[in-house]
Amino acid sequence: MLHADSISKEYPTRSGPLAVLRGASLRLESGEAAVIMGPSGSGKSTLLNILGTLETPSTGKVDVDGVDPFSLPPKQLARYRNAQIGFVFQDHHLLPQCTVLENVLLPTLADAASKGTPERARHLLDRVGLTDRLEHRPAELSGGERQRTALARALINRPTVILADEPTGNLDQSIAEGVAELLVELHRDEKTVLIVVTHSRHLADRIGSIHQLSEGGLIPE
Amino acid sequence: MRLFDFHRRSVTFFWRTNLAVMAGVAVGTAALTGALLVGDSMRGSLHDAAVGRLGLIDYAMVTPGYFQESLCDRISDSTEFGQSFNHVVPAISVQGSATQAETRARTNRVDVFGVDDRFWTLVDPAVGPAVNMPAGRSVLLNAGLADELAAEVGDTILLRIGKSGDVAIETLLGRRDDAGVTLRLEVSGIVPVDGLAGFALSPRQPIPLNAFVPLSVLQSALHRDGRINALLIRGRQAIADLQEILAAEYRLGDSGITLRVDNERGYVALESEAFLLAPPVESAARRAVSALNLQSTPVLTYLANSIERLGDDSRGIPYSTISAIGTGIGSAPEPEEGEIVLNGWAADDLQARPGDSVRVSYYMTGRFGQLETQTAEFRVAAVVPMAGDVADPGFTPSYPGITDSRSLADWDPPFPVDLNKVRDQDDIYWESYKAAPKAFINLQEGISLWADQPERFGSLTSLRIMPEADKGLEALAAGFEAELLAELRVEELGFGWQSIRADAEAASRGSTDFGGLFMGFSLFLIVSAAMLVALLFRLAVEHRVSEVGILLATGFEPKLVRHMLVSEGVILAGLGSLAGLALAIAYAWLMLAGLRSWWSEAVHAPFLTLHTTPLSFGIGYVAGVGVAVLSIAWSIRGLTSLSPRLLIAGRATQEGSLAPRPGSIRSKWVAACGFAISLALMAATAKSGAAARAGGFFGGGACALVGCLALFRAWLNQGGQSGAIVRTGVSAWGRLGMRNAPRNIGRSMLTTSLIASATFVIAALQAFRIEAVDSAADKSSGSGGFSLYAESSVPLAFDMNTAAGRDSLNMNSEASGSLEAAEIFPFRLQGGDETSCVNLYLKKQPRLLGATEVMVQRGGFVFGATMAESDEERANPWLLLRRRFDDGAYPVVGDEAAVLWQLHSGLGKDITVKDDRGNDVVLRFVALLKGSLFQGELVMSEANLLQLHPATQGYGFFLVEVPADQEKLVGQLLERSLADFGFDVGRTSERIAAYSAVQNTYLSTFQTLGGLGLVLGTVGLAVVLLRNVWERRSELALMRALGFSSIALGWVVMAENVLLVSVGLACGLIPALLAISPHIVSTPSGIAWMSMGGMLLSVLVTGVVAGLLALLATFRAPLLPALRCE
Repeated sequence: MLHADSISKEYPTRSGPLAVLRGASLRLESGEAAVIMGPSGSGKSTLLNILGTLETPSTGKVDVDGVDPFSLPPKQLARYRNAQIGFVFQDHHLLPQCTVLENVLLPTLADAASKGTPERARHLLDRVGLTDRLEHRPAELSGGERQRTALARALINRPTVILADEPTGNLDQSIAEGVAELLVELHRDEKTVLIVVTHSRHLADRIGSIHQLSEGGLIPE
Repeated sequence: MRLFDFHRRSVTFFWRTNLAVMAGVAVGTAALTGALLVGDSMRGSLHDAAVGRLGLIDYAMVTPGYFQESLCDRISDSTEFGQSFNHVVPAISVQGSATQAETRARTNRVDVFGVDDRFWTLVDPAVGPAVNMPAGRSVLLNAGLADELAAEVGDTILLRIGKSGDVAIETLLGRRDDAGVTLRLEVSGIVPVDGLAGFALSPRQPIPLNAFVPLSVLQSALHRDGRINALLIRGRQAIADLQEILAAEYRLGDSGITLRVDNERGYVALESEAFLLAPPVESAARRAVSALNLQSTPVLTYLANSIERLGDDSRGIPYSTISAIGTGIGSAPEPEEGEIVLNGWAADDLQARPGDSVRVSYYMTGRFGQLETQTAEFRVAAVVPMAGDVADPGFTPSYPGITDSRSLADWDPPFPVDLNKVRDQDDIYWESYKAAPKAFINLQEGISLWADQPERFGSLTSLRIMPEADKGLEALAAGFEAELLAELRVEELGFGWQSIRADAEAASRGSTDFGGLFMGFSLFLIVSAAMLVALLFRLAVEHRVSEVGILLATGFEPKLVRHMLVSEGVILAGLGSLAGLALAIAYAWLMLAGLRSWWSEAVHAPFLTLHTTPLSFGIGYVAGVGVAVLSIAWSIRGLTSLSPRLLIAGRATQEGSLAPRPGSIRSKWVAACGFAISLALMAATAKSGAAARAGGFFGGGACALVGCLALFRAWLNQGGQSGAIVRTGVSAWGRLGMRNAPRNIGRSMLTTSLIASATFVIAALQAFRIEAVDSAADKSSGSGGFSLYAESSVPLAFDMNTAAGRDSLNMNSEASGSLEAAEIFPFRLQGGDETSCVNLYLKKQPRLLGATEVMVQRGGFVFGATMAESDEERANPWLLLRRRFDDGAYPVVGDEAAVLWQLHSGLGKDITVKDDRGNDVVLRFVALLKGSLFQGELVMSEANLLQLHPATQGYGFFLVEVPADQEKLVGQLLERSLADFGFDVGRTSERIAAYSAVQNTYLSTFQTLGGLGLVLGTVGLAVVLLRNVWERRSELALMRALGFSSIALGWVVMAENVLLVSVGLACGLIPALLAISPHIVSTPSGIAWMSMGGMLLSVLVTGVVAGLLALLATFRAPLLPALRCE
């Protein structure tokens, strides 16, 4: 379960604080998915980063399975993020020096108690159709393959929440379709909470409930 | 996948950037390890030079006088020696000068060795060639001496050598006019200086100038047949064993001591060829007498010029000996003080009777052995008939030239004798009684009248041992000799071994840690390399900063991410440092090449070769890795505390934030504190001495540097150039470019700091440069008001300030007349280790000068610190040399630089040296001179020096006070007139300049290596600029797309470059000028403006070139891809 309550975020500027989010709230149970849409600069990515604990909210509270991650000390927050959150970025951000398999296993290096294993990595890569690409480097993959690798990386530690920021933004239509399909399938199989930020109505329609971010608040469609 | 796999992949994948980091690490490690290798090389080279010159010799003994050559055989034949040692070789070692007979090329300070083939058996075949000693009047020169004289085999060489007699030259019977001898020899061979031909008893840097003369030829020339003054030993056993063997084999004859048995009169007399019994011999003899419970009579016999009976019809006897005795004589009891006992002949001749008064006139020796006639009056206590002991010529020890003369007319005394005063009856007396004394006085009175410096030369001419009732004289003599030998400490007579190999090895450690010194010199290079490593690693990490973001986003703890990055850094540092070790050899080689050529004035060691030790490589490697890892850890500080979102977006700084940064206030505080401390330091030391002022201003300048940089940081924190860009053109483009500087404050500060600190260090070091100022005329200067100094190979025993003294030295009237204008201050000279920085070896036994009382009274020179307590001592700290310490320490004056840095001592501190008798004595520094000509030696009072080194003869060092216009003439005349004494004259200003050159050369070394650091700094600048341009390629592409011309873009790029370089130069130069301001005010000509300007110009040029490179990269960047990135 993920519950974001009255999240607001301000940035300091020379001419005073700049408010990006103003009391955005969201509640999702395991297996549920939500899409956040909105114009550029509306704070979609900021909200996603707060939900993923990459940024702290100015006010408001986040609760994931009864845990307020921002109350955790830094060390436990990192463990929490490693175990509970899976990120998929618009840019895949694969490590160019590592193979596909190694990239998927990357989060397991952070914690010895990680649930991720090479077998699970192979299984996930099999699920995303990259079984024959295990030893390839990111530079040897197509855009879709890279994003699918990133998808597998996000799921390696069986996270509670998957946060995807424009996961198909850099892909052409046909490939984006495949990645979107995979994202939904994996979310369903893994019973995670899935939150996707996108401009793509097509993708949004395939995922689930849609929330518009407007004037710093979330408005369900 | 394990973390190690991740690191391995990262290191190899980003090999280009990592290679750059490793190159930086390699440079740092090379500088660090190279410095240690310079230390190794210095020690190794000094060791090789010192030990190589010893051949196979381990121990040596050189005595102040000559001893019997047979001692060599006795030692060699002893069982103990054969068990532990290999060879013992006899030799004569004397100082002299050499002249090439044809060209008249002359060189002083030649070591002349009298040796035979046995000496050359000590050649170490691994170091030097085998040599055969020629026979006859020939000489072998080592290549060093042959080069000095431009001599070849077959040439004729004149060797002038000191000729020390048995009798001290400063006593009445010393032959001052026979101080040297000249040998005319043919050069039969020239031997390379490596190995034994370069033999020197103590290690020294200059190549020894050695001449090897056949032992028998030298013995004959010195009239020392069968005598030698040195033994050389091969063998590795303890020196104590050797000393025991020596003590066991020593015989009285080795020190010229005899036990004469007078069977006729029934006594045994202990006498010495030195005429007077040396104090250690007298003491031991008295102990032996006491131990054997014998009766003895001490005797001091002296020569009276006349004995006159006082009265109306006074009569006199010329040239008579008088004995002071500690017992009765003939029928007369022991004379009381003021009494004299005449023998019958004298009483008859004087027509004197008991109760009459007689006056005795005699010579006494003053300074320089000058004869002064003195008189003493006595009352005739008794007249003893000419029989038995009274007529014993044995009261006067044998003195060649007098006691062996057949008549008074044949006398060959070293003092003037008016033979006209000699009467027929005097000759008749001589024929009958020889040197039998004509009168006897009280022993103590005799000693007080005639024993000159008894603690140095002795106070008795003989000690008579009376027979025991039941023993024959021969048995008595044998028993006494055995007891005397047991009581004698042969070391007190100068018979002591030196562990010359162990000493050479110890001295090779050097008085200066060159590893540490060059580490200091290379510090800036090391720091620059570390900063470059930090910069390059930071850039490398920034290149893949999104990885850091991903790691953080996927739950890696910031600490773990830092650990991962540092681990990569450790791998790079490890590999880079390995490469650095190889580079270190090249660096050290280059430094040594520099020390042999450009910086040769600092070390005077042309023999330097590369030496390496595993320890230095080990330390260098570990330190190199350590410094690099620390730099790397520092470079990524704060990176993992950035928002992962920012990092994932590829941003490694908070760049773009419009809020003022909190560091601004802090930087302003740092700047204020820096300037405040700077002013305080300069104000506090403004009126101090030169060194304190230089230190204070350097420190103040350094604080001002910190202040300037902090101010720049504050400006950057506030956003830098914030003026509105409203107009077009150059000004606007420049402002636009300058606005880039605060975008990455870390990079901007790193490059600016590097340039600023390099500029500061290089420019501010000028403050410590010593300029040679010709202040010879100034009594309160480093030269003490003396224009010339001189040293003679053969000690002089005459006063050159008097016409008589100059006559005695055979100076012609021209020279003598010219010297009227000069005043010459002689010093006793006790050879030893030169204490100045020119001598790299460890100084164990410093060279000593004995200042005469006249010199002490004169004063002069500049003192840095003294132990003066009274106004008189403060006015003339030389008076401190008279001070007596309760603990027996001897006061000495030394040059501050030599005492602090070479002897590692200081004011009021002590050093321990050996005296002539092998005892440890403590020297205490009572005053320290500043920038003086006495950097090579310590100065003590003449009296103290003679007490420690009674065998010192004459004067060997001189300071000459002479008007400037006469300086050259006097110097030439002295050298020419005293060529036979190996007299070398030099200008004091040149001597001081030579010492200053050492410090100045070290500064040049530091500045050169600092310059290399600056080069690294500008490399860093170029890297930063290129990186900036690469990062902003899309901005620049956009500007081009918007129609900015190449010139406009050039201005934008160059503006940031020029800003950083200019601020760096200004931040370094302004504090540097503050630091050297006292120097600029006092000696404006002393600042090397040209080299400083050249250096700054080179910084500017390098900076501009770096900017141009960045500019070129800008123009080459393709427009569209860059725009697409945006």
